[in-house]
Amino acid sequence: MKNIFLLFILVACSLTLAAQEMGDILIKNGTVLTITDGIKENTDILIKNGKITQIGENLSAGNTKVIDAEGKYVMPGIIDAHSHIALDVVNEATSPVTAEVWVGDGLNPYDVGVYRALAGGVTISHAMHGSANAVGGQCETIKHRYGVIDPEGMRMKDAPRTIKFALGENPMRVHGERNNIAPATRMGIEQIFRNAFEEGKAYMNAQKTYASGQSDFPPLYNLRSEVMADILKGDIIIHCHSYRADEIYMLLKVLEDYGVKKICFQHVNEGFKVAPELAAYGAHASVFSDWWAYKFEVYYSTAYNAAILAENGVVTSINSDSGELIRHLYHEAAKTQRYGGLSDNDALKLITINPAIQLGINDRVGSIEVGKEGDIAIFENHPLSIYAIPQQTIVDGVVRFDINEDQPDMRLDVDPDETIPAFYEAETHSHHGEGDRCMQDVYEFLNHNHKH
Amino acid sequence: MKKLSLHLLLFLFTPFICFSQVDYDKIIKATDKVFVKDVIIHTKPGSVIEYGSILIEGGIITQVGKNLREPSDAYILKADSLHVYPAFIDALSHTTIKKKENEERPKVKFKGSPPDDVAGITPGKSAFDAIDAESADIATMRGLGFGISNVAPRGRMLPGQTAVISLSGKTKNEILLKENVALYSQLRTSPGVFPATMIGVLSKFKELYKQAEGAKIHFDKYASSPVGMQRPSYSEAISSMIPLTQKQQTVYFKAESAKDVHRVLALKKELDFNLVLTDVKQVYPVIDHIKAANIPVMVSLDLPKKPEEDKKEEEGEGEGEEKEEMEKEEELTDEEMEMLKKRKADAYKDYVTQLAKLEAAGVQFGFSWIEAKPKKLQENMITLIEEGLSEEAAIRGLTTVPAELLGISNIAGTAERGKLANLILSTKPIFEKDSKIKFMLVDGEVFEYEIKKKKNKSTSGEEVDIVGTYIYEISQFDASGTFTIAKEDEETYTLLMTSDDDDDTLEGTNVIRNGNALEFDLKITDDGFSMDVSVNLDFSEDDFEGNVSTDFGAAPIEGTKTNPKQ
Amino acid sequence: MKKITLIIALALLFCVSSYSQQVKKSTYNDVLLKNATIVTVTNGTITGDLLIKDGVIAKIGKSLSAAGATFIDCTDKFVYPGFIDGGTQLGLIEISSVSLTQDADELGDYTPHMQALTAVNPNSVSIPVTRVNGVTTVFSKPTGDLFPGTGALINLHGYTPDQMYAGAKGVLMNFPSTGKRGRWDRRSEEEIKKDGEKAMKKLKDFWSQAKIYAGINQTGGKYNPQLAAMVPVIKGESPLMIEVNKKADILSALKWVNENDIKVVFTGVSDGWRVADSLAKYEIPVITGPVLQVPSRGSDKYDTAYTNAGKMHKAGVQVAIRTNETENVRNLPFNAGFAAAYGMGVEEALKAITIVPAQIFGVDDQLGSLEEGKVANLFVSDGDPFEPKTTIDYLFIEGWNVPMESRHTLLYDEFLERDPGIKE
Repeated sequence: MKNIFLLFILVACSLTLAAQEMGDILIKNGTVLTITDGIKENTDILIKNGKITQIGENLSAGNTKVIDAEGKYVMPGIIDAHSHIALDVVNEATSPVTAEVWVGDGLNPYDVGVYRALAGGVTISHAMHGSANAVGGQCETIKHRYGVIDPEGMRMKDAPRTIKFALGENPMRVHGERNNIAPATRMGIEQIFRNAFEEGKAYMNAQKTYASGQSDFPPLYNLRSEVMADILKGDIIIHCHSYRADEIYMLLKVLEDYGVKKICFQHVNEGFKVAPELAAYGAHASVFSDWWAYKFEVYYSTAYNAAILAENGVVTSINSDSGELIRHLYHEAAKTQRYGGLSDNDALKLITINPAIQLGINDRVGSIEVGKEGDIAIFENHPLSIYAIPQQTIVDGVVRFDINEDQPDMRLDVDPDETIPAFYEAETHSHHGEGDRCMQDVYEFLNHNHKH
Repeated sequence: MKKLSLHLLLFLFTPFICFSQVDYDKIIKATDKVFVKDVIIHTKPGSVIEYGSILIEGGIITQVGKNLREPSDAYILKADSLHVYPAFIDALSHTTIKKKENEERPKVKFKGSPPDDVAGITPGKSAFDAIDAESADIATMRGLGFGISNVAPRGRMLPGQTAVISLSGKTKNEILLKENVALYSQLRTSPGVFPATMIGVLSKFKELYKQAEGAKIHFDKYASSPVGMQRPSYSEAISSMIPLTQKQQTVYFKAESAKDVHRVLALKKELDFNLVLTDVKQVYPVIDHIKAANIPVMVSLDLPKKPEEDKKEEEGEGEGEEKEEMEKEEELTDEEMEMLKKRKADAYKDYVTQLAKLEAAGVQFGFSWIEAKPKKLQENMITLIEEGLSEEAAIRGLTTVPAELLGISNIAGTAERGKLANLILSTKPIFEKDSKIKFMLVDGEVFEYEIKKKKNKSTSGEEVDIVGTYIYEISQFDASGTFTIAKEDEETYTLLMTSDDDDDTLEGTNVIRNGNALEFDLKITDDGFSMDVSVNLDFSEDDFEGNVSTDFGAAPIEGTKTNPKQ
Repeated sequence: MKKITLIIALALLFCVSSYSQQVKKSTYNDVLLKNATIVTVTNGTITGDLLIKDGVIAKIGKSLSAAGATFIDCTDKFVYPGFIDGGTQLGLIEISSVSLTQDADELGDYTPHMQALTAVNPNSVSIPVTRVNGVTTVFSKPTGDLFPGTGALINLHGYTPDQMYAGAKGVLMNFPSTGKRGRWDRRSEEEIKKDGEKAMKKLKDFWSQAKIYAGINQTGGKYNPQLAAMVPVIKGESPLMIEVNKKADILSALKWVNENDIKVVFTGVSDGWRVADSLAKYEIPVITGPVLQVPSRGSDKYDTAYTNAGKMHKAGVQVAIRTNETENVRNLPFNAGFAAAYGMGVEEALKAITIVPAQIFGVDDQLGSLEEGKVANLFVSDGDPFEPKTTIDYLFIEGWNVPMESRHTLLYDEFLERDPGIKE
């Protein structure tokens, strides 16, 4: 009997181990870009059981695996506050409000895009729902534990919940222009939010009534209202796809009316025009380094956006929203040095501690500090240099990318009925307007309805 | 007690002919006693009676053993030295349920809140209502060794309730063994309306489940004291989910890939319902998780194609270097090709060894046939056994495991006294190469199959008798239907084709037979468009394989005779 | 008094209009760049002076002087030839999601007579945005079906297409592809093969007509603009620019080129490294890119696109780099930088966006390096222009001193410290 019980424990342990896999590693003699505590030359970092336990000179740790980082730059794992990698589904586009869906239900740990992101030093990404709806689905913060095939093992456990909102052309096009229901305008979008929040409020009240014994039976469970209520309670951070200054300002006012504080604007190409308002509200901004002009609402934008926002005191990050850009966010961050002259550390903050703040995980990652999680990217040449080459990327003390171990075909899942994977001709976002994955799955939905 | 239930069963299966009109178009059977003599009886997995006999009365096995007395009033089945197995039980399939093709989907203004049936949410729907007792599927399944099917309705995320039927070929009322056995669910979306994505399906499932939990509270309170309380009024979908939330029912959740298995397991973990993972095609990466969750799994026997051995490249030393590079078919570098071929071979190995691993892990598993073709059962099972699966476990998965899960282990799943007379009689142990089914008994009805020596296609000595009705399948297009081939005179054949998608019948033109090959043309017209199709078929025994070609491309077609020699 | 208020008001109006995102005018006079590190590309790097006169590089040397010339102290600064992007849609598309601002893709399979130079918008907002990063010249090309049109090399300064024209055109062809067009492409392998064969037949049919047309007396016959556009290509006077990416397609394209004996340039060429030896052997010039691109196959190495240019170069292929971009052609130096880091080396990557494309387009006597007599397309920077941190201080296109302004800088100037700021 005892044995059986032990076996159970063993199985349970092996599963959690497989899912979370924490490693030990000693990184020697690197130039450590801590982000929060300056640059430390010839410094070692010891990671034990997935956590940074020591930073200093001449550290040793018995049999722990050692990486020699002499002459290399060691920085915190890069964090992408907006991506769609590792997702089988991006958009449930059927309704202007789909708060009830959650991309975390559709994680794809096999996505080779995760490996490619690791090869660019990215250890965490914010896997987001798309921008087809005013209130889109809930998102998931994932750790790039490539090789772990249990979706549970990809989740960054206990990271705050987040949800996607979207303003402007995308929701207007999907619902108003193509499906002939509101919102067809930016006015309509405002009212979608107000209505959804009202429903969430009413639902909360009905639940309270039941909980206090004033009602004999519970209100009809409504997952959408549950989620809206959780936003009102402050349990979920909003990440809102946005471009124009007016619409950004609109959402700030709506959120103010409902007492919702946690908001990070995504893309926010015209954020620079309302930077003082964003800063005053405590809203965050996660931007492209230089994407613009692929649609009308980003025609009046500037690559200096990040710099203006940062200088105005807005917590700003640079994101990818693309399986291509996520591979070189260090370079995207470097562009703020050309467009706005940010210092090295301020530029690096845009892809480390700042996105961590935006995802509510800055107490765990985003800088190299004792006690933080062992997510590290090691570079040949300074990461902001065009000649930077990522060498190793470490997640929770486990090396997930090593340039010396790289092989062709790093896919995790192979179709036994196929020899050569399909060749894809290159697409660039600019040729399709909406080639970014923010609108993935939408065309299927629209085209289906178009036929009928 | 045992005896009582035996009598009950006998009573149930006695036909009620007492006062009905006599129908002389029907042959009245001489006896409903069958005596199967001198056979090797694999009564249940791992237990064999060498040269015993079985007595069947009224469709029930009443005696099994050695040295049984041969009754004088029984039909003696000449089955000398055949191997007898309990007939297989199909844990889940769409047997007899027709596919709805190109269904006209109603227009919905608010795509986010369509009516439940448009969304594919019909958990209350019974498979039995949709079952077509006349369907050729029944004979096909029976011919492959099945005696019982658990039939799921077709549909989207929650198609409805399954029904367990006997494959005896009798009338609809007679074949029903059990209705509303389990709920069937899949991650299948509803195009154009919510849930249009897999994440939509999962969120809708969670919502419905919790709505049903709430509804249950309401129903119970109302039942105990309705005074002053609002009358419960919930949608049929919500009400139909209540038994699941009360653990009075099990959901058979289709999850083809390892990813889908993880998703369904996570759902189960969140809501805690009774689950059977169904139609799992890729199980090897998730065996530990399934074991830890202690969930039975119905595997899909849809195996990948075996990778071909590398053809030795012809040495073209004499040719110029430029020619070599330009003419090379290889898409990638040699090194990459080698790696990719190896990965493909490894992936194949993962699939064919996964059942052995499942067995070694001690996971309870059986087989379902939503996607896999039952026709490949024997061939694929032999492959799996070669790759380490034990024959015993294979048979368990086809008999006792589904019997237990479907709650029919008291009447089916083994060849023991008191059980339904559902038996396979094969020429050799069933999963030995070239083993053929000679007889099938379902509910005591005897079906005989003609066994032919396997012909060598290259030596086209004997001609096959191609006359008859065939069920064809063009899997590339998900199309199926029947061919009926008749012989006009020595050299002229006619061919009629039907499709499961519509009621049209097409007649083949230019039907030419050449040995065991048959060629003909078809003209398909629709809405003013017309398309010429030419078909080439190669017949062997009761099957054919071939090609359908049009101006737009060609697709493989295969088919089986519907009534091979009974 | 009233007058004064009016004047003030007018002055204010002027201020406002300077914020209306119009870039200041360029100036045209002789300029002497003093004490610069001059990266000539073709003749090494020298420290000295460079004189721009009448739109050309009049002199490069030590201690030059020039009366009347504007003097710019370039101590600690670098002078580079303007970058050339070998493939873009700059000027042809203003906003890609607004279809009526797209002029790159005409309807029809056979439109070689569509002239990019006709539709290039000299006032595209993207042009100043591009050139301030040192890109002075781009090949702007139509996109679309088999023969999308004729692209044109343009300088990024001027008010009419003719003022911008940089002396080279090229007929484009999309070689029939057997790859998938994108994530949404659900065609089976079989269907793709069929489509490829169909396209190949189309190509051959059109080609044979074009050959007949080129062979007959055109003055007597009926003028056929569609086929006339092909004549210089058929006669081998100008190269056909063939977009081809997949290995199998590149090999069939090579075969087709050999059969037809014409001058060609291959563009895209993402599988180029796999067939680099063949490309080198047949001396096919290549304009590859973008370098910042995801691998074409799930099984390809993550850095396949980064290393492609370098690998082709090592095999002896003449390689230029392009962005294939529209509004972000400004990333050309960064694409070159990545290629440099991933095996090509800085020197060769620099050539791949200067002298090599000039050679491929046959304008290397005019553009692509800092040499006396060449067109004064150049810029002054405070460092390596591949490095994002580097600032570009001065820009000259055909001798015009172009202001370092674009919509992006103007918005920065206006909004860095917004006025009024936040108001209660």
